[in-house]
Amino acid sequence: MSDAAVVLKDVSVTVHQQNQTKTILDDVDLTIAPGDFVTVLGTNGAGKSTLFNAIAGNLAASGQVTLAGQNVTSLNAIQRAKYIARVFQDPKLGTAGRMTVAENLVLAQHRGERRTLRGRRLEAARPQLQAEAAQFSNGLDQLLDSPTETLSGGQRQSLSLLMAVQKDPALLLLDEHTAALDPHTSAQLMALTDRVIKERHLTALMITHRMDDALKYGNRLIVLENGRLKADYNAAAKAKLKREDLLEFFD
Amino acid sequence: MSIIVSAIGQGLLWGILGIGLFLTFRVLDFPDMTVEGSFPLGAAVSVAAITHGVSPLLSLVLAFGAGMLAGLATGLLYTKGKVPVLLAGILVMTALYSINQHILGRANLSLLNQPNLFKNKFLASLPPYFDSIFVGIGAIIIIAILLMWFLQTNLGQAFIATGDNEIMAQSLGVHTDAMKNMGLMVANGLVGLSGALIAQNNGYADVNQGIGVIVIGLAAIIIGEVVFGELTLNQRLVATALGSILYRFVLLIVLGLGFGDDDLKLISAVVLAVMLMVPTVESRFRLKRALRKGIESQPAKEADGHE
Repeated sequence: MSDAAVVLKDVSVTVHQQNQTKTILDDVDLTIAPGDFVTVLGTNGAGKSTLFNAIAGNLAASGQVTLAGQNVTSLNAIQRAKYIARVFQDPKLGTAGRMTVAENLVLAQHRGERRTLRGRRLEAARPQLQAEAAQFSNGLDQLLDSPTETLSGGQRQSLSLLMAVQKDPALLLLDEHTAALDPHTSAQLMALTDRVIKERHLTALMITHRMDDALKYGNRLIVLENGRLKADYNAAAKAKLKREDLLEFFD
Repeated sequence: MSIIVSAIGQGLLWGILGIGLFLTFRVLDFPDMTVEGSFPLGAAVSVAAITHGVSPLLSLVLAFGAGMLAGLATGLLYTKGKVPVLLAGILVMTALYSINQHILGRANLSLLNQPNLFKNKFLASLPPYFDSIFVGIGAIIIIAILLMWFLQTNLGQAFIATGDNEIMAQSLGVHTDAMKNMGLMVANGLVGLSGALIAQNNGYADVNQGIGVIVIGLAAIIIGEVVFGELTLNQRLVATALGSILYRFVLLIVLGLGFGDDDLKLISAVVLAVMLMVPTVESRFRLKRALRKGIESQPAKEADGHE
C-alpha cells in the first residue's frame, strides 16, 4: 500500500450555506498506483473539481491525503505544489501572461522549491526548452521570448502541460484541460498529453466531459456521482467499456 | 537654464519614488497608498537622525529601513489580516502621520546649521542644482542595477509571477504572501529613501510632505509608459525615472502659464488624469481612422465585385 502514488482515505468536503450543510464529497477512498492514468467522469456537480481541489489542498477537507508515501493532509496548496502539478481548464490560469514562454518554463522548473537569489539561468536552459516546446509542433518553440498572453489557447495549454511536467510531479492533475479548445486542437493536445504521461511514467488524474477521450486514454476510469465513487473500471474492464455503458450515468 | 537643471535634479530624486511605486503598482498590480506615509516618514527619519548627530549618508539607510517597516505593516494587514490592500495602505498612511509628527517632535524640522548630504565638499563645489542631478543619477543607477539583477533571479521571477498570475504562482509553490510583503517593503524602502533625499535637498522635513506624492509617482510611471511605449521590464524602470523628469518639465510649463504653487496639487492630478486617458483617447482615434479607411475602401471593393 505504501508504494501507491496517491491514497485518499475518507476524504469528505462539506459546505455550509444558509443554515444548510451540503456534502460535496462523501467519504471518498481512492488508491492510485504509480504510472496510472485515471480518467474521471461525472455530471456537473458530481464533485470532480472538488475532488481535485481537495487533493491539491485548495479547500478544507476531512480525511487523509497521501502523495508519494508522504502524508500531506496538513499541508496547504502551496506546500503541496512540490508533489502536484495542475493544468487548468482556463488557458489564462495556467501561465503568467506578461512573462515570456521561456520565463514561465523556468519558473516551473523550480516548482515547490525555495526561491533564492540565484540567477534564473534562462540562456543555459534555452536549448532544452526549445527542444521540449518543439514536440508540440504548434510553433511554441518559435515563441520562447513572447509574452504568453499573445499565444493562442492551444499554445497556452500546451505550455501549461509542459510546465506541469517540468519537474516530473508525483501527481499530474488535468482539470478538463482541453475543454476550452476547438476539437482539432483538443485532439492534438490530448494525444500529446498521453505521450508525455507515458514517456515520463507520470501518475495522472484527468477530468473530462468528452466521453470518447475518457475511453480512449488512460488505464483506469472512475465515475463520480453526488460526491461518491459510483464506478471504478481497471484497465481490463475499461478496455471492454463502450460509450453506451457510460451513458447510463448521465441520464 | 537653471530652472531646467533644477527640474532634472528634482525629477531624478522623485524618480526613486516612481521606481518604488512601480514595484507595487505595475509589478504586483495594486495601488499602494502607504507611500503617502512612507515618503514623509523617510524624510522625518533622515532629518531627525541628522539633528541627533547621525551622518547624512547613514540617515538615508535609516530612512530606507523605516520605509520598509511601513511597507511591512501594510503587507501584514493585507496578507495576514485580509484587509483590502487599498484600505491597508490608507490605514498605515494615516497612522504614519502621527508617527512622523512624533519623530520630528513638531510639524516642521529644519536642517539649518546641520550637516547635509548636499553640503558635502564635492557636491557643494558643483554648479547650482547639479548636486541633486549628481546624487539622483548615482542613486538611480545603483537602484536600477540592483533591481534589474534581482528581477532576473529565481526569487525575482517568483515575485513578478505573483503579480502576473497569483493562482498560477501558488500552483508552482510560490509563497505569494511573502512575495507581496517583500515587494511592499522594498517599494516603501525606496519611497522612504526618496523622501529622505528630497528633505535633505530642501533642507527640512515636513509632516505634510506626503500629501499627493502617490500622484507624482504614478505620473512618472504613466508618462514613462505613454512616451516610451512598449518596453522590457528593465527598460521600464529607466523609463519611470525619465518620466519623472518629464513630469517636472510639464510642471514647469504649467507654472510658466501663470499658475501658482497653490495650484500644484490640482495640476498634478490633472496631468495624471490626462496621461491616464491617453491610451483610451488614442485607441478611439485609431478606431476612427480605421472606420474611415473601411468606408473609403468599400466602394472600391464593390466596384471590383461588379466587374
